[in-house]
Amino acid sequence: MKQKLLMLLVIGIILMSFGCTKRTIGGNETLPQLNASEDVAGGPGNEKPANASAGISDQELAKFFNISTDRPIGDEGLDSESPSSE
Amino acid sequence: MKKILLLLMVTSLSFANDATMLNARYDYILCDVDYAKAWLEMRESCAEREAVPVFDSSAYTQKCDELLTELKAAAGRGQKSTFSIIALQIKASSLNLIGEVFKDAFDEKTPEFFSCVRDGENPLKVAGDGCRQKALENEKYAAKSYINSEIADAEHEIGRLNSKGIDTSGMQEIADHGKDLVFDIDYAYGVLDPAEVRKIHLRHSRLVFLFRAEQVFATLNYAEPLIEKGNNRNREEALGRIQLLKSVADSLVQECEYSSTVENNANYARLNTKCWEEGLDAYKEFNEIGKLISKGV
Repeated sequence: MKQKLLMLLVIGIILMSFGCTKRTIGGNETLPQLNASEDVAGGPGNEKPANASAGISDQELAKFFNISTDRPIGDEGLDSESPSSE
Repeated sequence: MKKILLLLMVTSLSFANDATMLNARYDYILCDVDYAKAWLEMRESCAEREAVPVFDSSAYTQKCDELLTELKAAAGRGQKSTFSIIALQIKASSLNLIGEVFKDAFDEKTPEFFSCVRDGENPLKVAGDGCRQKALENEKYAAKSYINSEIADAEHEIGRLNSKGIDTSGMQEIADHGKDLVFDIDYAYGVLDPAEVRKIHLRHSRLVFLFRAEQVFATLNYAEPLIEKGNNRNREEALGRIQLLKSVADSLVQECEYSSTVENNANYARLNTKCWEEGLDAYKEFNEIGKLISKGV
């Protein structure tokens, strides 16, 4: 039941995102990309670019320092021993 | 708004794939526990028939039932770490049980008792093998979805970093190994041998670890000259920690080199454990450096 509700939620979000976006997601287009001009001109806060030619602020740079520490599902349970008379 | 919706979608799909994979693995583990419980019951019947003493296994059975309930809940919630911990507890419990059975075998047993147990366990083994095979057949589809989902996440990360001109060649190489891994899933699950299925998941674990190590390395290489030329208030400390972490990440990538051939499951698993223990410290430090940079704005 929970999985069905979850799938309905996912389908709903997909339908909503198609309604909201003007671009099709696919090919070389992935997520909305970081844009240098958005960072520098009129962006939230007074962020100074770490390097003018790279066009990226320290705040934007810091966002790349975000990596998952969650381990993937491994071989748990596949290497258990069973009791036997042998 | 678009970013939030896409993030929600990706998160929901990841959760669904995690939960599906964990539920499939739960079914496999259930086969092992059900076999063990049936085997103990059969052994106690033999003991009663042959009038020999036998150790009380009710504590094991009760403990397993409790752990299985927790395991099922963790699977349903897609809680990978919790699931892993409980699965290890079930394995430890099984090993304890085997030890108890071994000790008990020396306690006033008769040849007739052992003969009864040997005869009684044959149909249980057939049933247990059938249960595990069915569980693996179902898990195959969950494994494909799960690993394909991880590859999609990896490609998304590569695209995100590429957009800023970060060199993602190391990350791409690992993602490509992941695509090769998917092709091996059919064979590994097809032979219905848990040892072969283990190889898939051991390789997958190593690839996920290496992808993150390459991502750390790529990001640090990109960030270092920017911080050096910039005016971040934590510039000196950030640079020192970046340089140290680069060295650590580079060592990890070398020591934990990927091999698509798993010669020995136990050795591969041991190296995975070592790599992850060291790697998790490195990944946490990586995230902390990001906070340091952010605070120095």
